[in-house]
Amino acid sequence: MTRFVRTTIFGVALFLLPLWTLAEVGFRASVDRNVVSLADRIMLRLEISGSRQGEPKLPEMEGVEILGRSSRAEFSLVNGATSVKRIFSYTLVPMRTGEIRIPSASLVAEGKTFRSRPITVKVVDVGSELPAPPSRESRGNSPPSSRREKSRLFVTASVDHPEVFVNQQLDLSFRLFREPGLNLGNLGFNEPPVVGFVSADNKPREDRYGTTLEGGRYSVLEMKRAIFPISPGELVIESAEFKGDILTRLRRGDPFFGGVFADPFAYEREPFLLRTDPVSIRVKPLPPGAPPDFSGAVGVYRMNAEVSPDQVAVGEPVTVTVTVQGLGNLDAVAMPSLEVGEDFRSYDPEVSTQTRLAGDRVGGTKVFRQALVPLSSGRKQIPPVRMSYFDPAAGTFRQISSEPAEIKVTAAPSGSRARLVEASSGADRRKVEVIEKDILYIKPLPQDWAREGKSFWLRRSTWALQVIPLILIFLAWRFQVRRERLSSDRIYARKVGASRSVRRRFAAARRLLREGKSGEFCAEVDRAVTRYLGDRLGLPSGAVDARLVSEKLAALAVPEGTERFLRECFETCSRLRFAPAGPSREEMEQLLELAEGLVSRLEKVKL
Amino acid sequence: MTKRIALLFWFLLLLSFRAGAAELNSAARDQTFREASAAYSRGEFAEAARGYHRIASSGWRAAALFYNLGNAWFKQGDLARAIRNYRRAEELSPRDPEIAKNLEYARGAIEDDTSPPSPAAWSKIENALVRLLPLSGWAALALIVFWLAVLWILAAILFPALRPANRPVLRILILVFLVLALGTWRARVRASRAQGIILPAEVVARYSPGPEETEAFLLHTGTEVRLLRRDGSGRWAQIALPDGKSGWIPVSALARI
Repeated sequence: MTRFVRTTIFGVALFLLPLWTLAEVGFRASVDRNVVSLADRIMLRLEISGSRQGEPKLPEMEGVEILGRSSRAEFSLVNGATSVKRIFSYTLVPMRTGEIRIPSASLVAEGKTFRSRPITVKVVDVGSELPAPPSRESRGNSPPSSRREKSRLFVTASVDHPEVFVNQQLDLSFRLFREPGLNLGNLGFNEPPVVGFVSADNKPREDRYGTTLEGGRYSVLEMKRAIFPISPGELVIESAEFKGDILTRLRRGDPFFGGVFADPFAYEREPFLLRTDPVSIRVKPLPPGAPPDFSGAVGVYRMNAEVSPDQVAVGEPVTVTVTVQGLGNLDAVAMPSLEVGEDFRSYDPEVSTQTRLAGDRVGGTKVFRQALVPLSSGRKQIPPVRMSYFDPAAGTFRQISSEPAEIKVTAAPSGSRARLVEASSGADRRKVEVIEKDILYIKPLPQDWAREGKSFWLRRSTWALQVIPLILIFLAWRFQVRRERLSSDRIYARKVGASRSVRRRFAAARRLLREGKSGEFCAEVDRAVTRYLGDRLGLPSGAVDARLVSEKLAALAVPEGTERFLRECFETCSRLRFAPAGPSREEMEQLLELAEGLVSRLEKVKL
Repeated sequence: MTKRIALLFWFLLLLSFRAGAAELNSAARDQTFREASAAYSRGEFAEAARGYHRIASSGWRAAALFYNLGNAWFKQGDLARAIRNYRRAEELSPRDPEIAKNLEYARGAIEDDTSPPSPAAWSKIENALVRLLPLSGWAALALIVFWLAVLWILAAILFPALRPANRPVLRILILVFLVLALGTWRARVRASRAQGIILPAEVVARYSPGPEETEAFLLHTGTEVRLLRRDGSGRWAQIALPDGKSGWIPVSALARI
């Protein structure tokens, strides 16, 4: 029962929470400090109490830019009373000196409009004396270096030498100091342009370490770069910028939200932007009295020269390898002077450079490989290679040289003269360069004229005619099939040839009739009929007689009267052939007519 | 009566002029070509263009004719007509390096960049292969190989001694024929795509046909486009650019390639 009452009271309290808060809406604006320098930033804090509705609106502000915004909510339950507080934080960057007015911010909540009071902030030049900021609110600010011992986060810019010679190495460092307990996120670095210098690095080198400064322990992020001034005078390196977020672990006193449900990784982010002070450098010109072979190298160098091979024929190259090692800007080191006189033809050297760091000092090795071609035979001296540089530590010029070398040049083998000439002309050759572009010239009278319209090959009729070759192929195939059957199938060949054969024999019989040769005529007609019947019916010629043929024809659909013709033909033929007085002309004509009638009837039948 | 005779005379005279303009025999054609080339050499490019155009409009075609006509237009600053004639020349002689060079140079002078982002590799290969021959060249080779195959088949039928070699020879011939027929087909597909070129210095392409419709993009003289269709009135044409854009422009702003 008691538990039920407690739960009910708690529920009613939660239900009535908005009613309580409605009565207690508060809207207040404040800044972390009222006097800042141009390098600092202003933290504007808008605090809303008693309402969870609405967001504050900032008016247009002149003289400042909003760098970032964050918000958080705080709940508290004290003696049964719940209070809600929402805090909106704005990071403002001053853009000018003088007094800057932050006008009233507005909030619409619970049906009403609330306004904060306007705030005035004084902005002074970098380096001006500032009142000390409150210790609690000092985080994320960038105090001038003279006040850095009191800041938890600050930046510096420095060079290792305020005065240097032209082309002398200068180490430029930008450092971000932070207290070890201060967590930072989204760190960024904007490097200023280094006008009037050359750099050996593509990007600044990054270093992180811890240090003690003025009794305080700091973690340092250092961005550094080796630079070489290229001309004398007063040079200024502008401000660099470090930016990011200060991470603050959220702490909630609320028994509902601060216990089991608390996110151990929840941070409040407050953006910051810190600018370093500009750095002035005085660059001194090199003293007068530079040796003639001085090419601008400043630093400390040593040199070595080698010649190989030591024995060649005229026209064959020897290579002089000059190695310069040391600390300094290697780009300023030119090929040391080598005066070979008229005995050699010299070519432009091949150069390779390897840059490395010795501690913080930039240096490395530069190798020059120069080809020399001896023009005559004999023992030839290659004079010492000389080089001068300026030593900034001693403030004087120094000259170094290699040992002279000697090579033996033998007479050229046959053909080497031609090689020399070729080498000489090849060295002078250049690619032909286009001076200006234009269209190419017109063409002469063509010979491939055609008339308008589709060409013969593209006409549909041309492609349609391609059916004809296909028909030809079909006909050829049929012809070949028949030809092969005729040669392999004797019975088929006899059947196919029967008609032509019988017509030929009838023609011969008619000729015999005209000549009056009755015996031969009858024999020819007999042969024509029996052979024809044998061929058509697939019978041997000797086996053909009226009875056998009648039997064969009986099974076929022969025209009416064919059998009579057959019988009469055979009878008449036998009679006339063996008649003692010989047949008359009329009888012979009648026989021929019978035979032709028989054949014409059988021609219509498919046997 | 006299009036009728006079009318007939004038009609016949007109016919004779018309016939003269349309027909140009080969001797007159060659003479006109030489005169146009001489005018070009003297720097009289308009006169040269007139001469070459007269030959082209009389029905004669040659790659050199269109190439020279393109040159004459280019020298007068008319990029559109120059590119149009270089394209015609290229169709007849796709591997001619001079035509390709001048076409590339003229294309480089136009304002619009309508090239697609990156053509597919197979598209590049196909383009290079199809451009090896003009369309009639592909068709002629395909038919010749077809006839060779037919003759071989006939020979193999009629002369059995050839039959052992029939299958491999026939396979090769059919394969070659198929490749050539495919080339003919692709070249024909490309040739059948209606192409046009923008004539005025500037023309607005719109989302729909009509002068009041929403403007889509601007085109400038010499830009090559693909013609898709015409609207009902026939006064507006829908065009497409190689980069995929499409719009409607007045037909009067176009010349067909």
